[in-house]
Amino acid sequence: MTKPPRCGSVSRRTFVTGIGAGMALLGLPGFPNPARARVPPPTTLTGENFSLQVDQRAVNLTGQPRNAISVNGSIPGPILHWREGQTVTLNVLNQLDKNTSIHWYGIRVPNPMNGVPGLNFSGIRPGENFRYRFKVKQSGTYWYHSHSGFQRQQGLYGAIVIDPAGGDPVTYDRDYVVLLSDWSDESPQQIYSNLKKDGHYYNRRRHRTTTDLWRDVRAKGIEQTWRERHPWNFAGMSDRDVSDVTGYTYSYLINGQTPEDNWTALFAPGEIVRLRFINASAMTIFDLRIPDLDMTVVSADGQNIQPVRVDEFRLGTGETYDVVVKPSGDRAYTLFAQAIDRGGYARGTLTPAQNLSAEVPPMDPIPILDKRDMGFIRAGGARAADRQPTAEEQNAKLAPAGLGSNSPIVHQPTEKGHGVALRARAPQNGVDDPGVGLREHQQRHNRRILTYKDLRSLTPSLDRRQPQRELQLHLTGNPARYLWSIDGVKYKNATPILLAYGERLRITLVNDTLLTQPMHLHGLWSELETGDGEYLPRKHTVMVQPGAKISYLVNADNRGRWALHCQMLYRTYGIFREVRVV
Amino acid sequence: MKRTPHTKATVIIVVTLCLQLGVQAAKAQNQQDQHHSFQSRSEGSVAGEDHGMVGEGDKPVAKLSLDQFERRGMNGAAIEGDFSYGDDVNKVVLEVDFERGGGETEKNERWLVYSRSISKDWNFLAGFRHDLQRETTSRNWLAIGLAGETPYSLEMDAVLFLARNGSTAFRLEGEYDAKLAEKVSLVPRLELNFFGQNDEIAGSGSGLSQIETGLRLLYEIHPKFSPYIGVHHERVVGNAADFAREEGEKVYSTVWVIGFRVWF
Ligand SMILES: [Cu+2]
Repeated sequence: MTKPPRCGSVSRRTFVTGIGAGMALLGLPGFPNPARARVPPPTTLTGENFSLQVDQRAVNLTGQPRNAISVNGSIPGPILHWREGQTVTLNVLNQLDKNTSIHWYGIRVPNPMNGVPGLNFSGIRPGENFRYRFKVKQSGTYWYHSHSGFQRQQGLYGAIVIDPAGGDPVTYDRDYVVLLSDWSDESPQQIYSNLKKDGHYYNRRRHRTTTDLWRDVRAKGIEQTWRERHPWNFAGMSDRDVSDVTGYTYSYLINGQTPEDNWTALFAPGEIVRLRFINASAMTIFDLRIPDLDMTVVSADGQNIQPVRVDEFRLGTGETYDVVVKPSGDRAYTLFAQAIDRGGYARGTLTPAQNLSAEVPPMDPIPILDKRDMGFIRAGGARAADRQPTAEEQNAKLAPAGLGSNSPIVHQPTEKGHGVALRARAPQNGVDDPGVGLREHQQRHNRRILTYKDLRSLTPSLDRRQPQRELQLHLTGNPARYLWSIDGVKYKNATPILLAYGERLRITLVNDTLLTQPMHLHGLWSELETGDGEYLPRKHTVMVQPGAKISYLVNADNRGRWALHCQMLYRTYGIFREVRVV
Repeated sequence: MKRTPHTKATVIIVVTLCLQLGVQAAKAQNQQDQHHSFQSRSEGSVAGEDHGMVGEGDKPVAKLSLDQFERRGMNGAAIEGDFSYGDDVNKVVLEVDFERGGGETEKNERWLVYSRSISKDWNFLAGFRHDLQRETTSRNWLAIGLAGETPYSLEMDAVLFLARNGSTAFRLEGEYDAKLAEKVSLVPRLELNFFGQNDEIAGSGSGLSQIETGLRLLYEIHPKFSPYIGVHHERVVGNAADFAREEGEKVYSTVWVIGFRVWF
């Protein structure tokens, strides 16, 4: 799928998603059925100067009229089409009655342009116009969202597409943004309040019922059933707790359109189509596939990778993947994005003709967590290393760049009490694991599932230095009380992580919870250690699987006050650290 | 409410004490957290500065729940519920426990307690219980106990009561939510009441004095609202049973119940 750079040949390529509702009527592709569209589709803005208005707007996605937050009247907001090397100016006018902000997700900007209130930026007050201005030093697929309150849940997000300054190593004829999000008719404050009062509120299917028990006993016998259930029941946990806000309240959207609206993208027979998948949701991890169509992943988090052919991939909250497909010209295909908990799905159609659609496959069974995901003991039980690391351990030689951490897993003394339900006993490196619910797909359906191990940068790693030190952070929480923290300390009580400008270090994240935690680092690249130090893929968001660990290298090459946090909106307040590069 | 100024003062003192203890403990915990955090603190940094998203996550939570709101047999009723307000660690809880059966008010309690999260599944509680039922002398109790979940998800409350005249009592409550289907639960419940002394007026005897058991079948119409039907059985035992027999009263009763459970 790679080819020699092709300079400036934009002509053959049609950049289509959302040029305006009028175009939809002319039969141009990339639009929901106009008769059914309940939210205006995004337009595409190009140039160097952008005016963005953040405002409330009425929407009706489920039959219930609600208020949402739009940018320039649409949800998602307009697609911002930039070019690498350009200096862009973005005037953001706040028409809301409360503060807002826009964070350019995955974009390496000077610290005051990052748009995180409290970190060298004071937010945009009602009626205020804030001017963002920075040089675009990268290319690829990114996005933007509000970093204020729960505004991301209410619709304040949009896509960014940046053309490379040189040629694009990816060949394609058409280009679509496929932005996934989750919508609830409940207000985000209501969702959060429900979670605080009952952490399992939205996971209505977490309980194994007596009927399930009876079925298990008949199939496996009492002894085997007991052996399987005992550790979960004893700890008062469920092996179906893969998601804490689910399809019970969410409708899942592609470019703002519900599955019934069926966002539709056109292609001409023989064309190669590039799909830019963005997970802009608040709380949803999606498993994506296009039945009967081979996908080749060409870029991850905006960065080109060595092409990988897959049948299915997991898209963590905040992550982006660019995929190229070559559909055969005589039929339509369904873009099928199931939520990880299988409580619902987003759906769109890739078709050679507007009136053609394809079958929507049934959802897969609810993923069941197993011993690997647990990798856990109950807090207070026997422990591997519940203490400060010894001087010897701290000075031990770090594993070479690319291989990830070989340091002992040490649970800090703060990882205890009412806010920490679990501690991983023997976390495995999560890079080669497709993740809960997807391992079965590989075995049962013979689907080729993307793992992080498949990600290798297209170009060699820019910095070949070895990490000078390692920082181990544990993601902790008590889902029942809905408390979240890093090393048992929530953000409010924590002090910043200090990085020395110019240093290269390894960050190892250990997930002491049962939930997959997508972790986002602002301002700096997370060079994911997928096995080969020569071709480290650069990411901005890394999923840490339950009961697992994962490592990436960080170059502290951008001064300022940045954030490292869980991208899951309602866990952010706890799983959050300021990372200060001084 | 027939509350003497004296009791009012006691309530205020107890609550103030509990809150202070809680606040101090929370402060100690925070200091400990920061002490143990291996990340170094830099000049001019404010721990927990509001970063927009973070502020929304740390507001206090108010929850009102009615666990039982039911008709018991032809001439009985029960209301058990509470209102709690507070942050992740410290909460103030107001509780009502009212039971009426056989034409008599058997229980009419008002609680005001401080509750503190002490572990993954358990809360410590300390406060005050005021009994209002007409048939006995009104009593004020100090209450100290634990509420939470045991392994295998058995919900439990264990509370010790101390009265100013030296009387003691102990209550143990357990409840289990067995899911028959996604929206159908069978909830068995057991309550044991112990006393440190005989009290003929109140009808309680030393040792295990009274047992209540129940079995309720709930149907979840909404996660916050489940109507139910069931049976309730209660009996007095030991010395208390002797007192009841002397009075010519029945020592046990079994009634049907119909009601709902709701929370906001
Ligand atoms: Cu962020």
